[in-house]
Amino acid sequence: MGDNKNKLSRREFLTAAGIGAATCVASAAAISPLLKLTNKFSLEEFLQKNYRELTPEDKKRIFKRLEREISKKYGVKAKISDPPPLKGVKYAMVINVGRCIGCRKCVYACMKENNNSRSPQVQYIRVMRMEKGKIDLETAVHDYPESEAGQTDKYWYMPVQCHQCEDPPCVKVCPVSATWKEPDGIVVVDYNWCIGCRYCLAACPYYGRRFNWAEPQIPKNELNPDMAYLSNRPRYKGNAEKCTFCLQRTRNGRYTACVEACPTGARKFGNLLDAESEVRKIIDKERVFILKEELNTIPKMYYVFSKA
Amino acid sequence: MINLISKFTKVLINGNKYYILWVTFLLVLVLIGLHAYSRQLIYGLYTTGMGDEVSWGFYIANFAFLVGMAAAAVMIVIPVYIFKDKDVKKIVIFAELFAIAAVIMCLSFVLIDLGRIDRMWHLIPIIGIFHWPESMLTWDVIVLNGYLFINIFVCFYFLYKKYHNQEPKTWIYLSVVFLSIIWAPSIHTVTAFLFQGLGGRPFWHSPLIAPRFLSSAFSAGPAFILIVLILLDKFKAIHISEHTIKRIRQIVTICLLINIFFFFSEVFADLYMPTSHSINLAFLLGVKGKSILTPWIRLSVALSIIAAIMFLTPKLMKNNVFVVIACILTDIGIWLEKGLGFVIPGFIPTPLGDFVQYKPTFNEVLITISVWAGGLLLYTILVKIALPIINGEIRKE
Amino acid sequence: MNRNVKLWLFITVPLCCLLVIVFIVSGFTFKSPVPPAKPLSSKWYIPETPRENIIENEVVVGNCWICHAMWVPIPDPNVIRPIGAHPEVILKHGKNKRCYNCHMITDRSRYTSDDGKGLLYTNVAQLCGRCHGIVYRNWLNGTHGVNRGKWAPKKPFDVTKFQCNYCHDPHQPKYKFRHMAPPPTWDKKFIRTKKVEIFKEGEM
Repeated sequence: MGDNKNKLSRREFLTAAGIGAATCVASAAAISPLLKLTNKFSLEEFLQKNYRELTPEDKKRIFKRLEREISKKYGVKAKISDPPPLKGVKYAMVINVGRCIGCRKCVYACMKENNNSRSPQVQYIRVMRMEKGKIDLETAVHDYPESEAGQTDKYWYMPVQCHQCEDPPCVKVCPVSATWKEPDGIVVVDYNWCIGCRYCLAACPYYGRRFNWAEPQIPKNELNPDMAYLSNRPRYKGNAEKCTFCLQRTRNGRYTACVEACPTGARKFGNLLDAESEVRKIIDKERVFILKEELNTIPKMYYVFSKA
Repeated sequence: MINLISKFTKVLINGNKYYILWVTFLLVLVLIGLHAYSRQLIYGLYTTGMGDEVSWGFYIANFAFLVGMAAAAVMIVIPVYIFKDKDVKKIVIFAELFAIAAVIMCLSFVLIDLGRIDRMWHLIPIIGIFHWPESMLTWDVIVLNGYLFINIFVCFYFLYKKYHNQEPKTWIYLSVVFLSIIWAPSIHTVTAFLFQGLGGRPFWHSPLIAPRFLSSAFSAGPAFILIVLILLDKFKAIHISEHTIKRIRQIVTICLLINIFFFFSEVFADLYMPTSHSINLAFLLGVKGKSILTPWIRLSVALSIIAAIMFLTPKLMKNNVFVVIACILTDIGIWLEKGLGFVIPGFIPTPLGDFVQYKPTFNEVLITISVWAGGLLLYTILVKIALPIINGEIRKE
Repeated sequence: MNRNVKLWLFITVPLCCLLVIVFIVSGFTFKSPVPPAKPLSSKWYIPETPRENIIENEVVVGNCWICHAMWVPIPDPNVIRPIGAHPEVILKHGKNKRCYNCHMITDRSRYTSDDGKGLLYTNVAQLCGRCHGIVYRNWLNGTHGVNRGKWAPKKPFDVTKFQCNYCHDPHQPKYKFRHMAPPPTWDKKFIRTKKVEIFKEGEM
């Protein structure tokens, strides 16, 4: 060997080249399914900045592009708005669990209004059936059938959704600030900025966040064309989403979809800062409680046991 | 440069048949995993067993374990530079090379876990938004990348000087090594804080998590390095003294015992007076209901205890075969405890008390195996290149 | 040495070629694991109160006088319920068993009121308020009952406030609602444990 020891022989060189070529071809074949990707890569979308850094012109351009994309995909003329937060308003919701019959109308009204994915199913609201005499979440039943709803003599029901905390753990943990609390107290997500690490899902104590595990599917005729950038426009595969108190409705003065759909009037919604609002009247007059108050996230979702 | 590449190519393709089969085996696994990952990219994370209820699964579990393995290199470095143990010094480079491979595996596990890997640039400071210092994940990005660069620098500097037949400059080498000694526990502490800081998950919200992470890391990591060293010794690649093995064995033993102690401390606190917050652990251990993970966590405890007993039996430890077996048991035991037994049960039940169990899908397992294979392949290549440099077979002419 | 190097060519390279075929085949055959979306039933999401449709579709409301003034005589006020009167009405209103507690005996198109003038159909809440004072006060405050429209009404028609009979049948006021929506669905891959298996009967 001697002199030859550190020199690459011809045979060795060819072998190395062969291995290299074979590996490259095999890698290319391995990632060949990527050709199936239906969504074309868009540089504009890729370079889009966080919502809070966008100028009004940027927003206008982006909304136009999104409207075009949505109309192309769903064949529906969509309108993307961006209602600003109202001054002097902090939204709150009160749920009267003494009135809730567990019919889950809110769940589906929410899905419909917010263009949630139907498959895989994304539901912001989870209604739990509780045993009488208990407020233990561990023994609560989430999947009771329709036939067991409305049996208020045997059970009581408790709907839970995002609590719009004043001190939200999900916002704190997000590594890219893709989620933040708006001045009116609504915690929103920029669906174009989220990287999908799901740290917020782990941090939320109310199971208020959902993740798009696959490309969201919505039947074309069920799409709600009245959209807002921060809330109910169709989401993307691989990013987190959550209840936004239907900000496309509430910032225009309307009730949220869940409040409107509730047949018993168990849900009340309004401005926490207005002493004349429905929610304030209940909080002032009734005995309200907060779910997991010990976590000190200061939720703006109140529960009240009241028969009247 | 070409000369250098051809030298290394020669080193890499020449080897005994076990080496070639081993590399081929790993390469095939990596390619299969690449294919599985491309599926995941197309159809989304739906191809995994994760869901809204259990939103972190196998990937993050392996990540948590591997961060520990990476941090463990420091346990080989400490005896050398703090206790002036000359004999162990020779093998420090193998631990540091493994740290590189382990950190790269960690980063891969985090990357494949992301839903939108194309938006990775959002995480880069200045051009993206780096939510530092609030988000623990940003801390993790900093410490992991920092640790990676420190180790790459140390290894590269050491090998470069060896290749040029010079002694490494003590002050450069030492200052970086001491930095890495401080840095290494931080990567595992920060990873523990990632879980520990979440008030909404009582299973993780315990101050004992970070110490548990460190103790388990400092037994699993050195145990793995001990296996590698004994194998290298067996293949006559390097010579390992009896003293080195003994020293690493002691580290593994002590940390393993501390880890078992911590585990039982946690179990006692939760189960003696079972509050509603102990339901995660009660479900995991099969005290209430039966989790899919129950047999695994029981196996993990059993393996750790058996390994500890083996380590504490001097007669067995005279034979290296038993040392290797005990190390393997330690590694498997801690992998089960930290991966399956720590990350996943934190999600069962959900904060709203829904018991959704997690089972990785085939595709997910393929990707996980492939990341491991890739890491081991990288480590094999690094060691294969480093060995002739350390042994003085390759030198600058 | 060379003997070993050949191993690469004999094992690694053919394996890679084999993998290429496997990948291409599996790439073509692999289908999306996501089940297709099912449409929502409109019954699950359209806002409605239990008697909204009944009330809106009622024809004879407020026209009771057509029969009662012309053909049916005014009954004896001491009778709790005249025999044969509206047999389809099943009265389950607690203690309140007398028809003329609510229906005005002299003018059947109206309801009774304290001042004796009678209430019109549209103000039925005042009738209920005669007994159910606390609920009536809460209803006025907006904390009981269903509102639709705007949470911050500025104009009079911004908000629709439903009367009592939109939810409660006055003859059987116990709340009844029929359109219950189904539970969430979980994919087959998620293994859910029933609560009963975890918490034994006594503990639950």
